[in-house]
Amino acid sequence: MKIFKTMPDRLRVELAAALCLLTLTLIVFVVVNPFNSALDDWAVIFTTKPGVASTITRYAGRPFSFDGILLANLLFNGQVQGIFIVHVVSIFLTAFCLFHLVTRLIPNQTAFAFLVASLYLFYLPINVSQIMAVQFEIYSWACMVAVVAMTLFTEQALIKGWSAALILAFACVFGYVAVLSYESTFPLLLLAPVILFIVQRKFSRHFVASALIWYVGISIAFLQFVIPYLHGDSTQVYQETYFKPVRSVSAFLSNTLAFSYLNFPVSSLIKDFGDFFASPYLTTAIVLGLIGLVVWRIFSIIAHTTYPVLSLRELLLILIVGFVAIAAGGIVYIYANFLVPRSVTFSAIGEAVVLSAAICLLDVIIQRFFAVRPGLIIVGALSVLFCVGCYWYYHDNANAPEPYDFTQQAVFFREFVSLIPDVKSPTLIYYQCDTSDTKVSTRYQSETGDVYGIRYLYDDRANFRKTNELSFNAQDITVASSYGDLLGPILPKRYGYDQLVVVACTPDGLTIVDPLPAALAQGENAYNPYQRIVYDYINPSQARILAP
Amino acid sequence: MSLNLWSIWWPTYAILHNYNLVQTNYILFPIYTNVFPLISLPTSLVYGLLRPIFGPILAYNLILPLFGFLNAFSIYIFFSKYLNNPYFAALGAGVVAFNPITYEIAQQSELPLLAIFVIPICLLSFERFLNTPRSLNGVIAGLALYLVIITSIYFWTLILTVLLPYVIYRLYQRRFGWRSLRPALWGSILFLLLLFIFPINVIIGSSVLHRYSPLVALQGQLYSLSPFLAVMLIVAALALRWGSHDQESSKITRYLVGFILVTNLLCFILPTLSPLNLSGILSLSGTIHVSEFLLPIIAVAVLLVLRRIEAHKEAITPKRLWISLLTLVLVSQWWIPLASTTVPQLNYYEILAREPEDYVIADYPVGIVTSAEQLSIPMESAVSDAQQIGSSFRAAATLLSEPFHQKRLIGGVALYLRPDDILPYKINPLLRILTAQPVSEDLQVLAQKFRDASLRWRVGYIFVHTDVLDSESLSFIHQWLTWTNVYCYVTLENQVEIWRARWNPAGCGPSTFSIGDPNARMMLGAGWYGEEKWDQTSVRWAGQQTDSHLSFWITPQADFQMKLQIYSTANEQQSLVVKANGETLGKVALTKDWHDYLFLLPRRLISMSQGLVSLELIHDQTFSIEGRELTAAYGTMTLEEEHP
Repeated sequence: MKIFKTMPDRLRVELAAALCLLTLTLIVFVVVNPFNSALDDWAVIFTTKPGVASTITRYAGRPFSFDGILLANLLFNGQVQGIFIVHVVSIFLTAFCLFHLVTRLIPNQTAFAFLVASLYLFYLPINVSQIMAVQFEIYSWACMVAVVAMTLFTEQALIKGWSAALILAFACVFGYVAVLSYESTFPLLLLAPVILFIVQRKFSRHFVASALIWYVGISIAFLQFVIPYLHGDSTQVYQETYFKPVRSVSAFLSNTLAFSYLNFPVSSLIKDFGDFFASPYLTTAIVLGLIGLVVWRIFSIIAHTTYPVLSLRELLLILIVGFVAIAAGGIVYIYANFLVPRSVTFSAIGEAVVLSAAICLLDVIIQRFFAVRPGLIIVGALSVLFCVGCYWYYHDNANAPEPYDFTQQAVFFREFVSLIPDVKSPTLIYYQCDTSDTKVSTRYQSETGDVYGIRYLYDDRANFRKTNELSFNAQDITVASSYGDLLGPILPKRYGYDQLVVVACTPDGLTIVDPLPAALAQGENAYNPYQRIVYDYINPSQARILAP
Repeated sequence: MSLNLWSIWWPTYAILHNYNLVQTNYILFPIYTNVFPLISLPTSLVYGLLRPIFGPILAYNLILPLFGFLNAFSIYIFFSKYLNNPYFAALGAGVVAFNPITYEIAQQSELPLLAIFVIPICLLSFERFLNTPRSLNGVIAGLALYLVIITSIYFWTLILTVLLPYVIYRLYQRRFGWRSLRPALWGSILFLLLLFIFPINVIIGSSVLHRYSPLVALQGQLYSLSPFLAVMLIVAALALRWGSHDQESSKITRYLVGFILVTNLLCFILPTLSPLNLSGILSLSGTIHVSEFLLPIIAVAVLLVLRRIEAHKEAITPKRLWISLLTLVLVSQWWIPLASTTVPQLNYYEILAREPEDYVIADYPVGIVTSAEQLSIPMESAVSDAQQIGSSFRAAATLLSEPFHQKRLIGGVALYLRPDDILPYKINPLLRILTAQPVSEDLQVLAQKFRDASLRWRVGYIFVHTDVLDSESLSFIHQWLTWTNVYCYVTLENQVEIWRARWNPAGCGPSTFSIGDPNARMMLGAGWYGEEKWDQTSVRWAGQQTDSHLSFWITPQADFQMKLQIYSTANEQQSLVVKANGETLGKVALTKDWHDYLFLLPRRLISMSQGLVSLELIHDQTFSIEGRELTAAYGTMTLEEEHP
């Protein structure tokens, strides 16, 4: 077989880039625990149930945001690891599309394109969010769909014929899905024709028509989001309950500055760099970083690349485009006044471009003034960035909030389904646990999102509440609206005592409370938790999601 | 054997059922242990393919001859590159594949360690790349190297002590420039990619892997040097000296031979200096796992000797040839039959394997043996008490049963455990009872915890191995299981009693207590005589006083209809008042002979005491018969749910 020898150069380079970028992605994610979770992970898992994803509009107008999770469910049959894999693959695909995009826009600069793509993987001040795959798959998925759309749009502009029209159609579909997956992608998508114009520097009929179609496609999606929002739909109610958008220019400017710092957290980076040398992860990070450099070198040899040879002017232009991309990726967060680490998810693409251009710029300048060997600065910067990047991933993973999670350490939910394999519908499970008791608090702290865990495990036959969400009346129990009602079918607001199961925590584990505690004695006669429980084998899909 | 069968069965099962391959509580439930060093994916793949055709035992037994053949065949092909005479190559392959070391490995059933054919395959694929430096051959070489990585963690050192020097040697010999190596980059990137998918994530994820895994040594001491191996090594040393003095051997060849000899011998003699130990990945020490380092030495010696003999054909006479062959066969040890192991296979395991849930199975008695116990390496003093828990003599057999029933297991042969890991086995009443550790708490508290734990951990079955229990232990477990009433007796097979959990959907039926049975003794309070048999019926007299007491456990899921089978001798009217947890359930007039008496046991009364029912049977008078003060004889007590 002479498959590699006879392969066209472009295909060979793309294949090499794909393999090398995938290896780089695995290098950064190799330290990440797939089960690192955040508080509302169960809500994410819950959306994999049929029909639940469509109810997301109750709090966010993003009907496609759970598509990645649905895909994970389809491919991996309800495994949480499936979401992790889709998350990692989304990040890899974004990096690969970036590589492709840059090679198409700046021909013969595969090394620069690879630099951008690999820095997208390693320079991520947001990795503290990125490592929590189950929750942030929604972001990585939306970002990937947007970059695929931009890549397809660029690709169609560089070819002719019917295939260009077909690719444009796909680009518009991806753009549409991206906006309705996460509205923050819209400003980024607006940039695609602008960047193309900057590169081509000519107005052709083809360009105008395709840009028009593109803008129409993504604008329809954006209007679908924004019109109900402006009319004060449930999304607006929810969003404005939790987020306070900026209302003045000074607040906007102040947020912009804060956002810039999030993108380039210089003082944190310097501090982290200091910590890096004192860290127990030093050896691992350096070894992983060096393997990253080996991969970089392997790509350079296979793709016959030389170090980037962009002119000063070109680099300055790229730098500006990068900054604009950062702004486009972050504008929504600046407006929403929501400047948490994850707000740089969509500007990470711009970050990679800016950083790559800055490194090359430095290389060019130092070459000119000090006659240093070309590429030395790039290799030096890469060594540092790869090692520190690995350190960040490792360090953040190690410091991720210890999950009460639903997999390897799933004591809470595993015991739950052991005690209650299934329930008759509808059942109210009241979780009574004094978390101030130090003997039990570390193991059995139930979180807000757990209601979705129980709804998922019992297929909405059971509702799960804690004390402050329930009113115990003489005849019945009323349930207050809460976070647990945002998704999925609407559950009853009233339950009889005969529909109640009280579960308590003990130092040995969970237990079913029987008889009712004295405070709830009014329901004593009707209460029989064992009549609500259906003793059966634990459902295989439940077992799978709880399985280590 | 048990851990080897388990480790070969586990990967395919874990992958097919979406379980974590490395961190598992399938053995030693509920503890999570790291089983990475046990895993050999290619061996498991072979087993996974053979098992559906040949069954679990024959499939396992077939791997040994298959690997033996593959070893000999791959070494033969490799030797053929260096020897012109195919008979010599075959002889050499035979010696390397069948010698005291491989015999010892086979004897201990360390099948992954026996898969040494991956080394020659890797060398051959590299040779193929050297001959035709194409990208595809580079990819094949990369995959072959990955095959070595995933075959056994114990082969990783051989990459440094054999494969790497050989590659450098061949590159130098062939005057290969860096540019010619370019096609190998595809293989390199693929190798790196696979490496990061598995197993680098596992190693990084378990930075304290070695603390959990000195399972390097399960039954694996290479009891000093066997006389056969000693002879073999002396011959190898002499042969090396003789062979390497061949005029044709270049200086670089001698360097290679010397390097392989010295590094591997050092790793064998001083395993603490092996790269695996130094990197903290694994502990190797004086075990069967270090014997692999001798194989390259033997292989090099055999190759050099055969090359020299080939160069001096005139020295070969039929007589010398036959004597040499006979000596080799004798020294190889392979003529000694391999030991066999009894597999504790029950037909009932197949029923369990078909049940859809992976609940937990407990054996009684059960125990843990950690490999650390059998190691002679210095241990951290803090872990010394974590080496053996409960009836450790049953540990191996317990583990051996898991590939058959395929459920989680309490106890078994363990990996390296810290005191923290072992804590559940020390404090949990269920685990303490099953591991036959002494219990000192109040029995009622213990019983409640036992019932809770069996539910919370989904302990679906208990297998009571009557053949290894003394009568006292057997009586204790019978009484305990009867009183706590969370398991019901199902059947007896090969001296193993099978008890099923009441929550199991397969069902147990109504709770029936035979008061006259010895197993009911734990239920009884004051006011009872010993057990009697009346026409095969177990009976017990209440008496000595008018009040008789008994207790039992039941889940308060409904009101129960309690049926008492009572025999009364009294001709005149005798009354019985039954109280449960201090509350009167009813008063009946007992009539002569056997009759059933029904009482309603309300759920409320049971739940008040968390499932424990204390019955008080109050008779109005006693009768003096044959010197005993009797009230009535009791047969069985049955509890059936009362459906409104």
